[in-house]
Amino acid sequence: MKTFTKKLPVITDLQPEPQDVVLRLPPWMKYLFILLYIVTLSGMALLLRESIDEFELYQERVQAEHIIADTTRQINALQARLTEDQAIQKDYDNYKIRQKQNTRPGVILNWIPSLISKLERAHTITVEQKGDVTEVRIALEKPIAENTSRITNAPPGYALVSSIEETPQYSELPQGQKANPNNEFTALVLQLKKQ
Amino acid sequence: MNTNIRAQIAAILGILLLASITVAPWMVESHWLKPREVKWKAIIKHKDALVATELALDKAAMAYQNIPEKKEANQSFQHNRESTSLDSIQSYVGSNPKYMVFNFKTSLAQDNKSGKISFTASYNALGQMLTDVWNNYQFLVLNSMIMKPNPNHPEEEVMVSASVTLP
Repeated sequence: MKTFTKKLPVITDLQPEPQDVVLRLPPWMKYLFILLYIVTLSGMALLLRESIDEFELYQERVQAEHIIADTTRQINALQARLTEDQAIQKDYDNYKIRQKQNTRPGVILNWIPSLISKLERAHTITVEQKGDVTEVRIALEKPIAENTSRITNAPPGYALVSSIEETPQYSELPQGQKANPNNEFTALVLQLKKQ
Repeated sequence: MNTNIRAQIAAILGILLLASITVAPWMVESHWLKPREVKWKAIIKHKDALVATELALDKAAMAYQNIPEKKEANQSFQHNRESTSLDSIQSYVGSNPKYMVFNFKTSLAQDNKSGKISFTASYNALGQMLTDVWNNYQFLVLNSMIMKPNPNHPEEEVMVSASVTLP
């Protein structure tokens, strides 16, 4: 009987194990590697956390850049509008002040007849602006015997500063008109201040 | 012996490589991420400042009310100012027969800023005429006004002379 014998391949160890240890690390190096390992792990964890934060911050930054662009445009528009509005408001206020400061004779003219009684006759009425005071001067012809009591109420929007009677000027008296012997002339002078 | 030295060098290099790998995340965080974070936070802060400025401006702009109406009023005032002259007053009064004004005279001073107006009007129409004139020429400054009865018709007419300053 023929027996088969399996031939195992012959392994030729081309690079045999060294007989002596090539390098032997000191035992404490083990702790160094453990430390390096721990530090690497914690560094990676930190990096991960910081990266997540950084990504959120990046999104905020992108959003902020869009907002900055829009807001800058709106600020420029608002500033232009504000400047224009301020100029319009300033002009308007100036006009209203000038309009208010200007003498409007209507109120005073409506008020003057209330100063003159039926027995009196007005000859010359002078309305004069003196700074912020308006002077009204009325040359009146009135009966000598009449004891007049003046209405001292100021017209609307004015305050009465003073009210006196003076001798009228020659130019205020009627020209070529004979004065009634029972009458006398007087000039009523009133000063009004706009409120 | 040579083999041993090579192994030692390889070990040192390996340790250095491991050390650099260990340090790398910390370095990335401190030298790359942090500066960017500071820069981006500055951008976000700038955005917040701009938004605050915009809100303040918006609030300031809201303080001005009825601006279109005021603008229109200003144009009207401007037109009124520019159109005020003694000639235009004369033509305004002369073109309206209801005022019944006679001898309307104007004289402009040398400075072209002030002038005198004199006319004779009926008692009944005088008040309305003066009111209309002052409503139409709102920036005409009345310095003085003297009213006297007309010697020829003392019961019907009044002579008015006014000193005015043009706007």
